[in-house]
Formats: sequence, structure tokens, C-alpha cells
Amino acid sequence: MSEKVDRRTWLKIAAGTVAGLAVGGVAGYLSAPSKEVERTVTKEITKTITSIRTPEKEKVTVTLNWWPGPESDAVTPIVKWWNENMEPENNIHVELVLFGRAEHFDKVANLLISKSPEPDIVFMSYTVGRVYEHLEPLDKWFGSPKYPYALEHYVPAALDSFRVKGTLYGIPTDMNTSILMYRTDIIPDPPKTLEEMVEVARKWTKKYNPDSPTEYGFAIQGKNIWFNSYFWIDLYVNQGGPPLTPGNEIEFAKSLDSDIAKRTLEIYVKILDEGLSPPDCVDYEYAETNQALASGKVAMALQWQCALGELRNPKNAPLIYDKIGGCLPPGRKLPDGTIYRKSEVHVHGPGINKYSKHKEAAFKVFAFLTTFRFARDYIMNGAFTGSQAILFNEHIRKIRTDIPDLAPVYMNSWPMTTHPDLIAIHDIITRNINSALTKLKSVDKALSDAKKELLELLTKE
Amino acid sequence: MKERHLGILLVLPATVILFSVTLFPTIFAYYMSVHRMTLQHFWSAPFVGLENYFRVLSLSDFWYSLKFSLLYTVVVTSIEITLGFFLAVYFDRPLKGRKVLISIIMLPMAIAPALFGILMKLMFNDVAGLIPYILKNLFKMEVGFFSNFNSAFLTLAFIDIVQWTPFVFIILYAAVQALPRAPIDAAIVDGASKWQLIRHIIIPLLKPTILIVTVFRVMDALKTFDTINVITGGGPGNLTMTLSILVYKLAYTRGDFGLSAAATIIYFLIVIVIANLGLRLLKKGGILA
Repeated sequence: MSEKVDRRTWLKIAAGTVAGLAVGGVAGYLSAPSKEVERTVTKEITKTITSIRTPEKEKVTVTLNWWPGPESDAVTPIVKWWNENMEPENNIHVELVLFGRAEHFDKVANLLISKSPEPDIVFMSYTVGRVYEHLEPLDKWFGSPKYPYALEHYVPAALDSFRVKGTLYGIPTDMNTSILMYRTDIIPDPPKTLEEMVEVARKWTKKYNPDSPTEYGFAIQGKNIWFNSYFWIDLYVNQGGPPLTPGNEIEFAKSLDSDIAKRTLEIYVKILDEGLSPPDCVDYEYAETNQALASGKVAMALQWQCALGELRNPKNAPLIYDKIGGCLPPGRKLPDGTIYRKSEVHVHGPGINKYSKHKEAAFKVFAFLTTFRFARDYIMNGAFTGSQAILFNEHIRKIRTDIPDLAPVYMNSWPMTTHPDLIAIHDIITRNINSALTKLKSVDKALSDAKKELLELLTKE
Repeated sequence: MKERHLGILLVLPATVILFSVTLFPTIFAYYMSVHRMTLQHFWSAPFVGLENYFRVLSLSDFWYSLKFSLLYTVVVTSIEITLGFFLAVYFDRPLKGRKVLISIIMLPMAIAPALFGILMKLMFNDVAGLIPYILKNLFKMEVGFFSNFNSAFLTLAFIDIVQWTPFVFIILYAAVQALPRAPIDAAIVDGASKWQLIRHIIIPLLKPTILIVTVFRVMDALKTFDTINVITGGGPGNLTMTLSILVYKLAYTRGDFGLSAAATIIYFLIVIVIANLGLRLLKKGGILA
């Protein structure tokens, strides 16, 4: 700070440091992360909160955009806390700005490309590659001694999901991955390989087993909506295909007519053809799959991880809330006998608008969003996390009963691509998978078309 | 003079707002259509002339969507006009609870198309939907309403008919109410049957209104987006992708605003051709000068 700091401000900084230490102590009490994470978390709380508390010269309103739904429900009390506790000290008022959930990311993209200065902080997704040129690169901010940060506590693949060409543009407050959800009462030991999954699905399909409590053994999310490709991609990568990670898009596209890809899609189609999945599954996405599980109609499904918490709520799924589990998607047996199983991870979280007129103040708010305190409150208010410190916190694991199932999935994840044409890439894959499922194309044609379209897209000027 | 200036001044604010939300986007669409405008190159988009138009016309998805939109329009419009007409004729009589019945018929039209789509999607949902439940338990039938083209098309058409027949009905009902009674009474006196009355008296008298409402419904049905996007997203595969959905996907899935703008303008030209045909029919029918 170039200006002379008066006594009052020094007292505030000292009080803030003591308070920060106290918060750090409380955080230490609540958490039981690894020693390294604990050291990092405690360090960032004291220094970062001290910096955050340094007042702005004039009152500033930072507009914080978030995703409506469980995520905004979780952040609303935190914003209220900030305005009641931090605003009097640092003169930064946070105003929460929400758009409609369905087209939120398109709306944010439109605002960014129109160079709107607001919102100051935008809630982004793994489609960050489309708009990264309109976002503030964060490495220089986090690298400043003014805002020492603890990004090490994030799941590495999650943080990488917000890097474009190696530069960080957001922080993962919400991680998403796909898991295999299954009925624990009838499937005590979930399938580990794809072949096992098909056999278990057959066992719990009424057509093959009249005594099955479920009508179908599996539900494919087959709707022609671009993100439904993630489930098939997970299966494909686990069977030996190259992962669709940042920078690996062309290799992935070239592999689509391989024997591994054909085999994986043939199995996917076979699940539907043999009646192991409901016929309407070609129109299923998140909600329909949840309904199919909650109603007891299906025994297993590949689903987004947030469904686990929802379906373990007795109000949402009274029939199955105490008998639903989640694990890594099925993989393949390696020559050494081990099972290769991973899942992709993609993220949501805030980034700073490059055109913001209050970047300094926005970054103070942003730095707060990286703290353990925020992560703890955010998940306890019903959202999720990108932090390992949260995933392995014993107190939180007792309350959020989905975390013990999900933590190993996240720790075995690979980052989904952040290519600018990410949505088009997935749209091509989903459309062709859907065409194979509905017999519009053969498996071979679907994959060769997908490969051709992807290579055209990825190699265009 | 002063009064005229005052009039212009009073109308000016609304005109400016109207132009800014119609004229500017239209001009900008033309601009985008001749540039390779993507999310990454929005402010530095290179000029490409008519390249985007040729790209759109070379897309197999474009031709499929055009065919689907036309088929969908023909099917739903013809059924809606027929049903709406017969409902209008039916209600043109003293009926107990007529006003209540008419209000019930009008309800689907009062719901926003996207919301109506969500409601119908739930109704037809194979797990929680009322219709599959009734079919399965009363008729022992299991129907995949969205599992293939035929069922998806028929279901979507049904939903459109439920929502928009009331629109046709209310316009034709008002027209029926306004028909001169003399020719109808004379025909009844002459011994005309109900069907003869409809065919030879009511339909000719209602022809102008039927033509107008047909043109309206054709314009609307060609533009269908919300309902189908919410229910099937254009699937299975691309089988229920209308031109509107294609335009949307080109912009927000491919991120190619230039291509999407070119598709919009081609779409607009197609709609103008059809609208012109409609206007000619109306002129021929003596409805328009």
C-alpha cells in the first residue's frame, strides 16, 4: 500500500489477523486433512483474510453471478454473511446476480463477448475455452504476495479443468463427474468391468429374471443432448481409448473408429437392444434417469454425481434412499489383474470478468471464494466442492453421506477437455451415439461419421 | 403542423424501442451472416461473403430440418384447422355450461409453450407419466413415446394440436358467431342436412377467416422451437429437429454465429415465400385488396 495507513486501519488489520487465526483454529478443529493441506489451508486463511479485510477507499459493489439452483441456494447465505461481516470492514458490498438456470452459460457468454463490465465475477463452466479471452487470467493475481492462496487443496484434475492453454481462468467450486449408481440391496458388490455391468443388468431385468424387483437392469442416458456423451466417453476411456483431455482432442477423434470404440458402442447398443434399458431411454437425461432409479424401475445407471445426494434424501426417493450407492464407472481388467477405472471430471465455478471495473475488489471477493471457510459453508449449504480438504474432512463426511462414495471417484479422475469447440465436440459424439442407439446408423457408420465430423471441426482454420 | 410534430414526438420513443429490438438485430444478422463470426472471433470476424450461405445449403441437417418442419407444419395445421372448425360449429348452439367448456378448451393456449412442453413431457414420461400408466394398467400396452421417429413425431404433433387448436377454435368461433343467419335459416327451411349446411353454407362463408387462421398457424408451426426443444431436443438422433432448433444449435452448440445467421436468413426467405403464397390465396379469395 502506497498511502500511509492510519492507526485505525492497523488495528483493524491486527484484529483481522487474530480473527483469521481464530477462524483458522476453528477450521483446524473441524477438518482433519493431510498435514500438508492443513498447513496450506491455515496459512491461506490468515493471510488471505487479512488482505481481504483491507478496506477499499470508497464503497464498491461487486456483482457476483452464480448458477441458479442448489448452487445459488448454497451461496446466498454466504453472500449475506459477507455483507454483514466483511462489508463494514472492507467496503465491498457483494450483490448476487442470477440468470435462468437452463441457458445460464449462454447468457454469460453473450455478456462477456459484448464486453459488459458486469457481472464482475461470472459463474463459469468447463466451457471456459469458449470465452477465456474475455476472462481475467488468474495466475498473476494468485501469484501476488498480497493474496497468498491455497489452490493446492483443490483436486488437481478439477483445477486443470479450468486451465486453457495452461493458464487458470476460474476456480472449481463445483466438480462434476459421472458415476455408476446402483441398488445396494440387490447389488452389494457393484460391477467393476463393463462385461460384469452387462451381466448384472441382465440379472436385474424382469424380462430375463421374473423375480427381479426392478424392471430394467440399467438406464442409458440417451437423449440427444450434448453432455450425454460424457457417459459413453467414460466407458470408452476405461476400455482403453485415449482420454478427451485438453490438448488430446485430435488423438481422441482419430481413435473413434478403433476396435475399442466399436466394441464399447456395440455393448452400449446391445444394452438397449436386449431390453436391459427402458425403450424411452433415448430421451433420458438427468431428471428421467433419477426418476427411473427413484421409482425402483432400474437397478443401475451412469449418472451425474449430484444425483447421489438427491436420491439419498428420503423426501426425494422414499423407495430407495437407503439403498443407493455410487462408484467409479466400470473399467477393464489389465494384464496384471488390476482393474483400470477412472472417470472424467469437469467443473463449474467463478471467474473474473476481464471488463470488470472493480477488479481489485472483485479479486478480494474471489480470494475469499478459495478459502476453506467458503468451501465448508458452500457444501454444508447443499452444493458441492472442488477441494480435497473438504472431501476428506471427517465432520463433513458424516453429514454429507455421498462424499465417502464420491471422494475416490474424484481422486481417480482425468480433466475433460476445455477446447473452445467443446460443446460441438460433444454434440457430434452424442448425436452419433444416439443415432446408433435408435438404429438410424450402424455402429460402424456412427463412429466413422463421428470421427470424420470431429476431425473436420478440430482441423478447421 | 404543431399537432403533427407533437404526434411524431409522442410516437417516437416507442418507435425507437421497436426499431432497436427489431431493426438492429435484423441488420446485425445480415452482418453476421457474411462474416465468420464465432465466440472466439466475435470482434475480429473475417468477411467471408456468401460462404456461410453455401455452407448452410450444403448441410444435410439443413435439408432434413426443412423437410421435417414442412411435414410437421402440414400435419399439425391441417388437423388443427379441421378440429378447430368443427369445435366452432359444434359450440354454435345453446349448450349447458358452454362458457365453462370453452374456458377449459382455451386453457392449454394460456400456458407458455416451453412450460406446456415440460408438462406434456411429464405426462408422457414412461416412469412417472399419467398416459403410460393408463396404457399399461388399463390396456396392457407399453409404448415408447419418444423412442423412434414415428412415435416421437405423432406425440409432438399431438402436443401441438392440444395447445394450438384452441387458437383456431376461438377465431373460427367468433367468425361463426358473426355469420349472417339468413342464409343458414333459409337452407334449414329448404331441408338441408347438417353436413350440407356445413359444406355449402358455413364453409364458403367462413372461407376468408379459415384462410387467415391457416396462414397464421402455418407461420407459427414453421417457427416451432420451445415445445420440441424441451421435449426431445431434436432427437432421437436429429429426427425431430426443426429449422429453429437447427439455427439455435448452430449458434450455441457449434458457436458459429455467422453460420447460424445465414441459416436464419435462408429460413426467413423460405417463410416469406410461404407467406406470399398465403397472401396470394387471400387476395384470390377476395379477402385482401
